[in-house]
Amino acid sequence: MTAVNQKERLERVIDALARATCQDYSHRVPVQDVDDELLELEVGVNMLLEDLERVSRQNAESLGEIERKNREIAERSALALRELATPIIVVWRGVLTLPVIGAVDTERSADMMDALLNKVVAEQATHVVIDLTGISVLDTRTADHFVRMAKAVRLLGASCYITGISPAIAQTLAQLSVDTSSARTVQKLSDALREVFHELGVVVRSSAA
Amino acid sequence: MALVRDAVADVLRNTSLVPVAARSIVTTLPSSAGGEVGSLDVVAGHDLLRYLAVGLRVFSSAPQPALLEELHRCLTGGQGFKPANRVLTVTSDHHVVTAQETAHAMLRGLFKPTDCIRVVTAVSELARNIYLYAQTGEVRLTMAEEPDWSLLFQVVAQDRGPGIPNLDEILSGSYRSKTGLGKGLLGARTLLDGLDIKTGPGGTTIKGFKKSRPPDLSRNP
Amino acid sequence: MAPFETAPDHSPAPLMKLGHCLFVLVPGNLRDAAARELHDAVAARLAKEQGIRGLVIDVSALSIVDSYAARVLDETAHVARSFGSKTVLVGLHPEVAVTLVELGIDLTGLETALNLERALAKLKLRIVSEDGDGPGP
Repeated sequence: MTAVNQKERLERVIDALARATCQDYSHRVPVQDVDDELLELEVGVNMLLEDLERVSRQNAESLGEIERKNREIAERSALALRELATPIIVVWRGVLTLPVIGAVDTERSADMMDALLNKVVAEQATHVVIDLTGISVLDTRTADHFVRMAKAVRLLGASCYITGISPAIAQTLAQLSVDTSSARTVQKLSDALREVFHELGVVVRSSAA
Repeated sequence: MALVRDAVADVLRNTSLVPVAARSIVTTLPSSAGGEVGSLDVVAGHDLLRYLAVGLRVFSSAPQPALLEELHRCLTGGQGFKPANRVLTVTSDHHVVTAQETAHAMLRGLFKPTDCIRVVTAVSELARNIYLYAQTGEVRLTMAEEPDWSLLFQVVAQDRGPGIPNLDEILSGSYRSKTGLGKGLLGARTLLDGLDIKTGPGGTTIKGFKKSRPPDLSRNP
Repeated sequence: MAPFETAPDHSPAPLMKLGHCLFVLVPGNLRDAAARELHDAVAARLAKEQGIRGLVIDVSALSIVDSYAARVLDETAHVARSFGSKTVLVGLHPEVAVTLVELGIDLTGLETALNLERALAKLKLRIVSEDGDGPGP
């Protein structure tokens, strides 16, 4: 009888330890009212499991706290980025450039469009170049925003170029049937500016002899 | 119940503003300052806050967002401004213009300019659909302040007309409306944050809304 | 009250002729009826006068242009084209441009310019290239 009990009791201890290796610290070894060597082992294992469970819970709480703090930081960064106004640069009289940097969400693109259109009117611009080289993600939704921006610029009476789109992205946009017909898409900003200056009758010449 | 004018004077007295400056700001407030604290609706309330912001900008060199927040809290008794409501009957193209002007007056200064025009245009589309297709109906406009001080503008266009046939087709964009009814509906839906349409042979009720972040009074317009 | 006051010669006040151009100043708070009257007034004027090559429509008083107003503008440009005139829109508010784009309204029948000078320049270009005289574009 004693031998069977001992075997059973050992099996229970092994079972509890096995579960612990699978990170289930909730199991406990049932303790009999028998004062023998095995009892010390059983009690010892139970105390170990208690400690493991406590530490595991504390870790989970800390992790939750860290995740919450990370989300907070991400939100604050996103807000800060939104508030970084995209500058609209007057590169020549009547020629505006909008260098887009970073992530562009709906709200940021709406603010950018407002600022750009108001600047078009204020400067009585003839040409606008929207450069997307620095944009972090250009999916269909974001591309749509810029197409709308270009349409609005055209509607006011200025020409609009979109530059900085790699051939790969241009192909993706075509495949997604994003309508880019209202803006002239040119890969390099410098090429777009060359076209603009040509239209304006401006000649850029090197002064080196 | 304290008067707005006096409550504002109390708050300004506890600032670093010179008494002359504080008195000057209070005396140049619009007539709504003669009302009781908590009686102002969100449109009148923000109008008053704009006057305060201008006054503070004149007399102190730095923008004072914390002070404006305190004044906001003081003017609303911590409850937020009451919603502003306007109800208009629509039976003609003349009323469409009235609806435009009324909506614009409620939105101006609270929503940013492009959003003002988006919403007013949507209101115009809905009002026009009423007089063109149902002959008569009404438009209710509401501006409310949420607990977090963000703003919610709502338009309810209601009529007892014949209802909108082919609504599902229209909303999916596949129905080419001959008369512009569909275009107006789709347009309103694009311009607003949400549009809910209930229609039947007994009439139509369309509810639309747009939200905005609280206006930043400390910045120069 | 009539949307437009009519001048003694029965032409609505806001139409002005400048050389080969017809200039229209659209008043603010434009009722639908007034918009249609404007369209009809332009058509009548173009039918009456010979040699008008360009129509300039100033919309700087319009803070709202919804789908109806846009259609009337398009139709007016269409009428002008049938009389051999090009149409240029001037003074469009940025917020209105945004709204029109979001409404999917293209205004294909007319061009736009940021100011009257450019509008006239756009029309002169067309006129010059059609008649073949004057300096090239």
